[in-house]
Amino acid sequence: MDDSISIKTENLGRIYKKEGGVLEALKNININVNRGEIFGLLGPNGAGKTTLIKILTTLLLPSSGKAYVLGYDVETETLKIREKINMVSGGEWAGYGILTVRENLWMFSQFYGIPTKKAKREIDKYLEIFGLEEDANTKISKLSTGMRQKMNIIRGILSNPEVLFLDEPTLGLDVQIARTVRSFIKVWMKEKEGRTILLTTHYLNEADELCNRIAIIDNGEIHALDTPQGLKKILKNKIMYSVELERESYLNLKELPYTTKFTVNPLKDGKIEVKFQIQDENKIVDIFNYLKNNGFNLVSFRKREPTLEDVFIEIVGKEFKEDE
Amino acid sequence: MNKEYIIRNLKAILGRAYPRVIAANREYSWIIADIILPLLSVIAYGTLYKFLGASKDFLGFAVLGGAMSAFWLNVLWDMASQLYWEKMSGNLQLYILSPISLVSILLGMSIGGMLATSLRAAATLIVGTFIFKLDFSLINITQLLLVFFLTLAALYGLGMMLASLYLIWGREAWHLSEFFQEPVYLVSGMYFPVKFLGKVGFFSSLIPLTVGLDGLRQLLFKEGATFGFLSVNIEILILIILTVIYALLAIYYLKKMEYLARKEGKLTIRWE
Amino acid sequence: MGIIKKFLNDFKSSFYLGWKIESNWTDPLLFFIYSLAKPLSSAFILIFMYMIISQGQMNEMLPHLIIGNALHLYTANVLFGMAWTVIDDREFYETLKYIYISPVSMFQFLAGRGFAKYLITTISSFIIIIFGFIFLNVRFTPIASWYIYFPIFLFVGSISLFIIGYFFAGINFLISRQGSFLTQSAAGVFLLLTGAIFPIDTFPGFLGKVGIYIPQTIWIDGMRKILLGDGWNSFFINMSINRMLSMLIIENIIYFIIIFLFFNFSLKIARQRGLIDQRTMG
Ligand SMILES: Nc1ncnc2c1ncn2[C@@H]1O[C@H](COP(=O)(O)OP(=O)(O)OP(=O)(O)O)[C@@H](O)[C@H]1O
Ligand SMILES: [Mg+2]
Repeated sequence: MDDSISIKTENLGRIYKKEGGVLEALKNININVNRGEIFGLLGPNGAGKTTLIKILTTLLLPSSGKAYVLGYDVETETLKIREKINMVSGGEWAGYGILTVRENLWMFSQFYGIPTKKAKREIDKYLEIFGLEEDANTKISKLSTGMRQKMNIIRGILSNPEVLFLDEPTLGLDVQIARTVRSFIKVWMKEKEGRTILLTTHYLNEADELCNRIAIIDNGEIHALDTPQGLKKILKNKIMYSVELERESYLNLKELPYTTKFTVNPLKDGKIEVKFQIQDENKIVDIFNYLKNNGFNLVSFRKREPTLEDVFIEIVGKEFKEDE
Repeated sequence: MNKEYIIRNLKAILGRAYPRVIAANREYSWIIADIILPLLSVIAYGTLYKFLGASKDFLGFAVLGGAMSAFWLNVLWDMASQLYWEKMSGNLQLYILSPISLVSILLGMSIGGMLATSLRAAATLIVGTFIFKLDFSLINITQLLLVFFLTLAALYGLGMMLASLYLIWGREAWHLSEFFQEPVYLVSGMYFPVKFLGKVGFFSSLIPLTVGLDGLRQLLFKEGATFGFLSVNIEILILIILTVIYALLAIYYLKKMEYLARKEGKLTIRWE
Repeated sequence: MGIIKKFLNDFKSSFYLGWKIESNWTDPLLFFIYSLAKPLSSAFILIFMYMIISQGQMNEMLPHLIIGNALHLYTANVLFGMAWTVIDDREFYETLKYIYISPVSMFQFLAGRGFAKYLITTISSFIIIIFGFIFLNVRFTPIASWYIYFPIFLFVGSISLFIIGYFFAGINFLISRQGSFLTQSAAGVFLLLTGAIFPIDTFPGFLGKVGIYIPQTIWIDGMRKILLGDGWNSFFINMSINRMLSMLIIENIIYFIIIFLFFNFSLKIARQRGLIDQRTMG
C-alpha cells in the first residue's frame, strides 16, 4: 500500500443491533488520510464519529468493508496497529484515582514498553509544557476537568504514536485550556514528520483552525470531504447576508421571501439577527421592504463570507449547536 | 513473539501491579478495614468454638480460614470485578488498544493484589494467634510453601477467569461478587474442616481455597491431619491441575471477551 | 393530630421510595443472592460448627442459635442498611442532597429505607427458621402467653433497630466513603456483643457485660425466652419477661433521646462543612 497514506477505508460499514432491528452507524465510508495530515470528522451527535474512531483504533470490528491503519488491516493485524497509535477522548476518566498524575502517566507508558528513565524524562517535559508540573504529585481524583484532560493528552502522546486519534479532545474545556490544547496539537504535528491526527469535534472553529481536511459526516455517511477552504467554496455562488433587526413587540419572523437557508438568532435588547442566502442580488431591496412592512426595523446589515457553519447547515440541513 | 513484545509485557505487568501495591499503603482506612473486618469474623467464629468447648486446633482452623479469606475477598472484589470497573472508568478500552496482551494486565493486578493481601492475611493470623493463644506445629515446610503458593496461583487464576466472565455475563459486578462471597465461605470450609461436608467437598474442590486451606490446616496443626479431607500430596496435585486449567480458561475467556467487545461494541461502553 | 398525620404521610412516601430502591428482590437472581444465598450460607456455617463440635449432643442450643441468627440478620441489614444509605445515596446515586432539600425530612427518609430493608429481611429470617424446622428438627416451646408477648417484643425490639440505625447513619454523614468500614464493622461488633450466636459472657470481664446495655441483646434473649422457654445469657436467666420488656423500653427511650440529639447535630455539622454532597469515591 501507498506509504504516504496513513488511514484508508474501503466501503466501511458498521451496524449495531438494537431493539427491533439494526442501526446503521456507518455506511460505505471511503476515506484516505495522508501522513502528516490533521483530518477532521465533523458531524452532529450520533453521526458515527466515535464509531469510526473505534474501528480504526481496533476497539470495534467493521460489519462490512475494510479499514487499514498504516497499511495494516484493523481486523487482523491489531498488534501492529496498536504499537503505533494512541487515542484520547474528551471527558475520559482513565487511570487510578489513588495514583498521582506522574504515576498514572508512568503506568500507561509501561504498556508501550518505554524504559522508565526515558518515560520519566518525557513525562516531566510534557507536564511542564502543559503547565501541570505543580500538580505532578497530586492524586488524579483531585484534578479538575481541564487538568485531567491535559493529563489525558500527555498520556496519548507519551508513546510517540504515528497516528493519534482525538475524539472531542476539547470537550468541556474552558476557552483558555482549549486554546492551549489546540496550539499544542499544531506544535506536536510539526515536531516530527509523518505524524497523523484524526480528530472529531463539535467546534467548527476548531476544525477550521486545525484541520487540513474535513469530512462532514451525518447519519453514518460522509456528505462532503475537502479542505476548509474547499468546503466553503461550495457556497461560492451563494450570496450571504446577515441582518440585524429591531422588532415591535415580540414578533416572530417565520418566513422571508426570495431567500434560502434562513436562520434567526435572538440578540440582546429584543433584537434579532437573521442570516440568509439569496440567488439574485437585486431582490435585497424587496426583502428589506418586506421586513419593514411586517414590523421589523433594520439596524444593520452586511454581506458576509461563508463560514464552516454555513457549509454545515447547507450539507446537514440543520443548525449546528455549539453548546451541545 | 519477539523479545521486544515480551519485555513490553513484563513492563506492563509491573506497571499494573504498581497501583495495587501503592493503594495498599496509601489509604490507611483501607488497610484498617481489610484487617478489622476479617478479624471480627475470626473472633466471632473462634469464640463460638470456645463456647462449644472445641479443642484449640479448631480455633486455629477458624483463624487460618479468616486469614485466607482475605485472599478470597481480594480475588472477588479486586480481580473478578475489576475488568467491570475498568470498563466503567474507560481504562479497559485503553488496555485493549495498548500493544500488550490483556493477560499482562490481569497478571499485574494479581501480583499486586497478592502482595498487598499477604500483609493483611498475616496481620489477621498474628492477631488471631495472639488472641486465642494458638499452638502451631509445623509438619513439613516444603509442602507448606508449595500448598500456599499453589493455592494462590490457582485462586488468582480463577479470579482472572472470572474477570472476563463477569463482563460476558453482563450483570453488575458487585451483585456477582456478593453472590459468590458467603456461599464459598460455606462450601470451601473456610471456618470448619471441609471433611464434614462429605461428598460436597469434592465438588467444592473446584475452588482452590477448599483444598488449599485443608492442606494448610494439615500442615500447621497437630489435629489437622485427623480432620484432613484428602492427603496433602493429592491436594498438591489437585492444585497444580486447577492452576493449569484456570490459567488456560482465563486466557481463553479473555480472548473471547475481547472478541465480543469488538464484535458487539458493548463491553467497552461505560454505561449500557 | 396534624403532626402525626403528616409524619405518617411523609413516612409513606419515603417508605415507597425506599421500597423501590431496595426492591431488587423482584429480580429473581438478586432475590436469590440477597435473600437466600447469603443469609443461608452464613447461617449454615454456624450450624455446621455447632454440629461438628457437639456431634449430636447439646442440640438443645441449636434453636437458640437459629433464633439469634435470624434476629441478628435484622440488626445487620436494617442498621447497616440505614447507615450505608447515607453513603450510597450521597456518592453513587448522588441523590442525598435532593432529599436533604426536599420537604421529606432525612429522619423519615431513612426510616422509610430502613423499613423497606426490614420487610425484605423478614423473608430471609423466615426462611432460616423454616429451614431449621424442616431439616434440623428445631421446635418451639413457647411460654403460655406468647401471643401477647411475641408481638409486643417484636415491635419494641424493632424500634430499637431503627434508633441504633440513626446513630450509624449520623456517623456516616460525617465520614468519607473510605471511613465507612467503621459502620460496616458495626454489624460484626454487634454479632459479638449481643449474644446472637453465643452467650455474651463467653467473653471475659467487661466485654461480656457491655451487651446488657445494647437493646438488641435484650431483644434476642427475650425472644428466645418467649419462643423457647429460656434464654442463654446468665444475666437475664432469672429475669421475668416483664422486667426484660421494661428494660428494653427504658434503653430505647434513653438511646432515642441521645441519638436524636446526635443525629440532628451531625446533620447540622454536615451542612456547615458541606458534607451533604461530598464525593469521596476517588
Ligand atoms: N455500542 C453501541 N450499541 C448500539 N448502538 C450504538 C453503540 N455505539 C453507538 N451506537 C449508536 O450509533 C450511532 C453513532 O454513534 P457514535 O457514538 O459513533 O456517534 P458520534 O458521532 O460519536 O456522536 P457524538 O457526537 O454524540 O459523540 C448512534 O446512533 C449511537 O446511538
Ligand atoms: Mg462521539
